[in-house]
Amino acid sequence: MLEWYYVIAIVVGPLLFLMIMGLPVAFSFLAVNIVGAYLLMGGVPGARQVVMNTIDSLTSFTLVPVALFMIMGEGMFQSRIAIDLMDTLDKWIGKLRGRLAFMAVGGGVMFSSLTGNSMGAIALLGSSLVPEMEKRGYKKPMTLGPILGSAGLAIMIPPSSLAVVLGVVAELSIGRVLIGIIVPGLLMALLYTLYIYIRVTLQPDLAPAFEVKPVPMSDKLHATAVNILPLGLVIFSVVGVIFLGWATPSEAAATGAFATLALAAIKRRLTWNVFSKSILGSANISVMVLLIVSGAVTFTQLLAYTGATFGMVDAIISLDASPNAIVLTMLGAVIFLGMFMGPLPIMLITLPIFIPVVLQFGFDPIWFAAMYLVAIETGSTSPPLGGALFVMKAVAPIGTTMNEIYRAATPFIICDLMAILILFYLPQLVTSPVEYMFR
Amino acid sequence: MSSAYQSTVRFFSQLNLWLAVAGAGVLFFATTIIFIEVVSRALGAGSRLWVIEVSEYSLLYITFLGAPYLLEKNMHVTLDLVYDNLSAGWRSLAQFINSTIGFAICAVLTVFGVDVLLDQIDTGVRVTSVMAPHRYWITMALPIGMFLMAVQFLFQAIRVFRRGKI
Repeated sequence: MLEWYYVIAIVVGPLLFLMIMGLPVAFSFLAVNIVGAYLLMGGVPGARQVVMNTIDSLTSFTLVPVALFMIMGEGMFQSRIAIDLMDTLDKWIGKLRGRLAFMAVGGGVMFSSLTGNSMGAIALLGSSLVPEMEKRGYKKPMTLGPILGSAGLAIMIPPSSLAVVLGVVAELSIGRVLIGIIVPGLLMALLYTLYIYIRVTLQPDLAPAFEVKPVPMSDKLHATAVNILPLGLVIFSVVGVIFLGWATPSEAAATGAFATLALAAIKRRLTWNVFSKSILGSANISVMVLLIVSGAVTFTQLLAYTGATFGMVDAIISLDASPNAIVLTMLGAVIFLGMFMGPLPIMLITLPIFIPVVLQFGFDPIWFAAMYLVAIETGSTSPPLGGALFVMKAVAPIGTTMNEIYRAATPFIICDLMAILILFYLPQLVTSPVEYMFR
Repeated sequence: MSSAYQSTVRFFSQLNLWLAVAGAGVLFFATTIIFIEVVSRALGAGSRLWVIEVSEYSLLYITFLGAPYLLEKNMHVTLDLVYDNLSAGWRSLAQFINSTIGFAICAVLTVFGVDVLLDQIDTGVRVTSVMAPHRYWITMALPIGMFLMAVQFLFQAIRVFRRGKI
């Protein structure tokens, strides 16, 4: 059998090369799988095995939420329920310095509990808040930064499709991962809020205060009753049904999707156009993700079959470094890769290697998964090529330079790094809610 | 020749669209049966074991019915790190090479997919599950999807080649 580093060179090198040259990620995985299996798994039988593994990896009930959470997100955006949410938040946040920046954080948290798509959240928060922020004289660090940071919470607060993918690839309990990431997500929101508060207090010119037409309490309560309270039904239908034991996490995605469509129907917005766009849109995104996942799962099996995973894990754990240092190094590697690659490919390439290492060291994999997702989020907002930065560029006012976006993102990246360190030293923030829910 | 080619491209484009719509229909169907299952169980009306199995097969069909349409519309996830910074000529070359590699992968997987499929039809092997369907009903999604994607990659390669920038 080949040494593990030769196997890595044979399969990972070409994989990265094909991806970088612009071949779609899913087909890069398929190419490496078929050639790798042919070379390393005995020729034609190996290639036939790739066909079987690709099919088996997709026929998995744990992957169901990936597709169904998309319906929730698309339904929210297409039926404009998400816009109602922002309007209501606007009514509640009164005359407060930096109110629009705080709104971005509040909106980010709320969207996160309704959708699992951070890029969609950036697009929505950016297009709805940035023009108003600019009009009110907000400077770039207080317009672009809070949106970049908060939109990323979508992967940290259930429902989160990336968390489900993580659970599938790392073979962890999806329910435990979804519960485990709630406190880290809220911790990040808290750090963002503190940062905004401190920054606008020290530098008031970044977010000038402006007169806000007072909104009568009756209006606020009415908007809350109409626009926010019903969302409790959607949140309950995802998280509540899991807590009550009525549904598994995979099934909860279906109840969440139906609750979203039902809410749109109650609001008389579930037109044929909205419905078909929501279902077609979510099917398209699901296909993209599922095809990549199937390729990556087979890739993982290829690495395991050839002994590369074992060899690599063995090499890592015999390094002359403490387990803590290795865990931090792995998280650092995720952030570094995030500067150049999208979250999904990073997860699919690194998790099959990292999770066995974490288990070997005896760490709680859910704790690691929570920090890993924060690192993924940090990477996607990190210069020079973090994906979220380019979505921000697309919705930012014309003339906004990448440099301004980089500068605005930096403090929020520091907040993310602080969140990772807090979670690293206080694993109970992740493990306690999980133990409480699954005792 | 050109007209026949255009008709073929249009035919496959329509086919991809209809299959993508069918895939979206399968997605909604799977969502509905899972939702009904949860509600019926919560109301004490028992559980239908086939729901999980049908949902699992649905994922496979959603993926392979929708993937050719996404490929046609260039909606698959790519890393644009180097590609976006290439000059027009190099980009065309990269596009041509990528299309050719894509065609080769999908063609090979179509061939192996058909091979596995014929084998399963021949042996009549069934899935070991509650519904125990013939395995070829499940497997056939892959060669169909791969064949349509191979065709799309071929069209892409021809398009780039005809532009004459390589």
